Amino acid sequence: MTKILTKYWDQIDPRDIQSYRKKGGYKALYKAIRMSPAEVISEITNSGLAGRGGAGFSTGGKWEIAAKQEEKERYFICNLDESEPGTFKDRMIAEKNPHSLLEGIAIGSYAIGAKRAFIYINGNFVLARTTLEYAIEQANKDNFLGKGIMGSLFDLDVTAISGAGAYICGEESALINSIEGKRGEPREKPPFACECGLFGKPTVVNNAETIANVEWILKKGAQEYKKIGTKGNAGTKLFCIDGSVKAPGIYEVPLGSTVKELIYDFAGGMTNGTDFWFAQVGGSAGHLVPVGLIDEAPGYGKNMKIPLGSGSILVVDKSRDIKKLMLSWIRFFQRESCGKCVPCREGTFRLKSVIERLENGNFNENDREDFHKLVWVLDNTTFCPLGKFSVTAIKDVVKYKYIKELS
Amino acid sequence: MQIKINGTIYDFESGETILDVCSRNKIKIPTLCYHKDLLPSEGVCRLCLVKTDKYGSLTPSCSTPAAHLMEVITEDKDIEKARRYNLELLWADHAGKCATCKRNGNCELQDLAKEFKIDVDDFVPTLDQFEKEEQLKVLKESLKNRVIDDGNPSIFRDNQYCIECGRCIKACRDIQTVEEYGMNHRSIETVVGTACEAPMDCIFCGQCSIYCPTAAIMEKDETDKLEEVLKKEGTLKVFQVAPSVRFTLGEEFGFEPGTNVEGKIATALRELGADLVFDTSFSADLTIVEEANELANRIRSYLSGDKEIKLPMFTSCCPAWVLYIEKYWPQYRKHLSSAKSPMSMLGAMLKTYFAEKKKLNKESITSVSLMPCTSKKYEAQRKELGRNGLQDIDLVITTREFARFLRKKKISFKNLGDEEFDQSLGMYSGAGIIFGSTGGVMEAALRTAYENLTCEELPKLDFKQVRGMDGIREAEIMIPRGKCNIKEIKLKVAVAHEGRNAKKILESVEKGECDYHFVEVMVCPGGCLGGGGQPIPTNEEIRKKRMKAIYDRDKSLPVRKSHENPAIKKVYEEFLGEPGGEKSKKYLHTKYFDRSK
Repeated sequence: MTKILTKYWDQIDPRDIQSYRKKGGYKALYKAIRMSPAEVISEITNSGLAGRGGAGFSTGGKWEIAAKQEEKERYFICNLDESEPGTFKDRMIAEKNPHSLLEGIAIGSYAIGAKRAFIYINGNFVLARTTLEYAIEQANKDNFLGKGIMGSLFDLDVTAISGAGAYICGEESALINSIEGKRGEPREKPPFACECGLFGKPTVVNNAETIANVEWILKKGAQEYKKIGTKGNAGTKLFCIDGSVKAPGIYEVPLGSTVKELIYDFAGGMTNGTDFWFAQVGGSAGHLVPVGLIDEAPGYGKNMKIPLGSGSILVVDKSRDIKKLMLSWIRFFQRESCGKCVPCREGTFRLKSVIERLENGNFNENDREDFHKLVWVLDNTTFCPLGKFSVTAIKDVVKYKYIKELS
Repeated sequence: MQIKINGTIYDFESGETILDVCSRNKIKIPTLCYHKDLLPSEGVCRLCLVKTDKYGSLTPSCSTPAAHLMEVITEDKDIEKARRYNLELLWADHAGKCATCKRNGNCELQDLAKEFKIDVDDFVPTLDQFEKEEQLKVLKESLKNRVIDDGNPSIFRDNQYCIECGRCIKACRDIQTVEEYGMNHRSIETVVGTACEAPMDCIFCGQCSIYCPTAAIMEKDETDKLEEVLKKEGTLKVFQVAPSVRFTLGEEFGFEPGTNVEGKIATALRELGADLVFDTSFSADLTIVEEANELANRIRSYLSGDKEIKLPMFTSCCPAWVLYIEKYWPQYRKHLSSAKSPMSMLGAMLKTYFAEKKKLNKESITSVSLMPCTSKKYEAQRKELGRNGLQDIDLVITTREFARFLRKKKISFKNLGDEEFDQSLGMYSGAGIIFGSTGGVMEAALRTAYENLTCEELPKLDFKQVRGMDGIREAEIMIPRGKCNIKEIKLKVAVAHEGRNAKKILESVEKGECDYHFVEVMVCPGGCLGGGGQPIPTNEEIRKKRMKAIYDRDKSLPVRKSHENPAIKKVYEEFLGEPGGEKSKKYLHTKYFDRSK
């Protein structure tokens, strides 16, 4: 099975640029700066690489929009604010192979014409941050970053920046606000970041995993990349599998693998003595996958039965308390709401208190009515997707009738 | 371009939002965080949601641009649900103390709650669901971040009433460039506040209180003190009324914006127990005579080659502007005219000239001023504006407070007769009355400075170039040699209102690109007529009506130049001597401090 992201994870020393170079590191960048930016973009577009943060927008498409803008001052941002519960793939990339990220960032910046790039790191990721900072220093010294990269006219200054660990700062416009020193709150869209982002300039914000794919695509070609995965969902994906499985951990899997395969072929199947109830794909914001859907593959695009999201899988067995699980979801979203819009700020709080009463047995008819009102208002009226995500799983609990008081 | 709303086709221009098109065509959409003066709107209250064919889901009409051939629905079951639920959520988190709230009857949230018939119990658990201890815990938690800020003389904040619409933040940041407010905390604990919840330390312009839809930010209510003053026996209660107040107070009692109610104010004050009712427009004339004299002196020194002279000269009657300089640009305080504001001049004249003339004990005079402005409350407390431990102004009451007081006293304002102000310090010229509008001080000063410089009569009284609502208005006035035989000069002047425009001028001074000789600044939109203590609501349309009324009043007056006001002439004859003279300097001029730390 082809490995793209994890291939060298334990073979290279993340603190030593030479060990990365010995594995062919920075050759893709060397190749890229001898191509025109438009050629680099079309290579990425042709590969079908889609944003790994969850939305699945075409990476090449995003670059192209930014490259087309009249404003010449542009920025490239690597989103490493991974805060979805149960997701730890971006952090692992940064800790295990930081130079693959830097190389991808340099190629992306070259393609869109950015001279300044940022890596926005979740404030809790101390090791990832220090590793990256060290890697940036080394890459600057070896002229893979900095002025006149590898003898070309291409300059790039990369800065690692840490937020305070807010979930909302993974949303690109909130992330941009945070870099600008403002409160981490989403901005009104349009305009999108690729048109008007950091400091009002065209800005590409890519998820770290997306960026880690770039050097491989440049080296091996878009056609090779397309061969992995399925039509419409090219490449491999890191899955963080967790819960009632024998071997929880991080797995690189070609897209198109079903939930069943992921649980049984990779994560070693259910822990002894437990029965599969459902899986949650994509962190706390993810959908529930009951037994009936277990043979479906999570993926990007409107037609997929299971949206892939960030790529985490939480496997839940029948002995678990669904009410407690619901409480943990809503507590997370309530705590992480930025407080900007009414439904998310007030709604998640009220919903939390309703679910608390559901959990401790004080749930009455009034609460049932409020519960459905709150789920509706969060699902339909929030400013940014965070509010909507807060009830994705809760809606599925209602849909699959896991709790009789709610129906 | 055309847009289809609820099945009807409407024309629109590019740049308009869906809400703009709807409000132009009288299609009602509820809003809360939206205000016309504070654009672009972000759509955080989620009340103006509509359905469009372009975006599918519900989208806020205040921030969504209208698009050609777009189809919009503004009323259906989902939209009604969305608006209602969000209002219920806001209401559940609101203080809900309408009966005792000072904004009762003039509160945007209350109006919407009435319209949507919002029930207090929504989303709030019933009492039987809690143990008593738990109830207390919840109550404590909901008050955890409550902040009551009364550590300043002008503004009172209680964030229990705050609905986090962010309008104050925008007004403070975008209009005034002060940025005193921001959002603090996260999730349900989010509240508007100052950095680290320190007591407010700004220019106290009060625009935040104008734009607050509820009672979270209010002028500091001193109606109780007014009550005390009026009750106190053995004192002479002297009131002064600012030029703009008479054109706005009526709005609180159902008059059209711009209705001149000065006669009713005089009657009401006397009915309440005022002994003397003076007019700040009179001392505005006094300010002009002093300030124009100072300007003429600076110009003469400049023409004679004095390199030390500070130009442009800035007006100094707006207390928030003076604070703006003292706090953020203290290096330019020498540019400020040293003339006191009209309010302080009248206060000083009252406790010196008037007291001496009438042989009154200064301590027995209580001087109260009716002002359009919250920052005046700060100004009145400045130590340098008084003598021997006595402040010249004892109490400042804003337009809104005065209206509240009249209602409390059950005075039927609408049916009051018209009386006149007391003449000795109450007669005013057209130049004095236009102080209430942006550009007014400039125009008044030009009328006097021209004659001061040239010793000739001004051929044309109206300086229309400096009128209007543009942020910065410039004019060039030829000052001929005249009888005084000065060097000919093309006087370059500018008028700015709102902090953001004042900042532009200061920045150009900093860069050395500013070639104005004289600049008028009022930090509130429209000048005092849009002041932070004026009736709510306000918007450009209302401000324009107020402005028109002020200029109409100027036109109707027999005397339109400050220095020709007979009452002013008399004060100089009897007491002050000459403009800029020894006594004037002592009583009518002040100094400024570096307050940047």
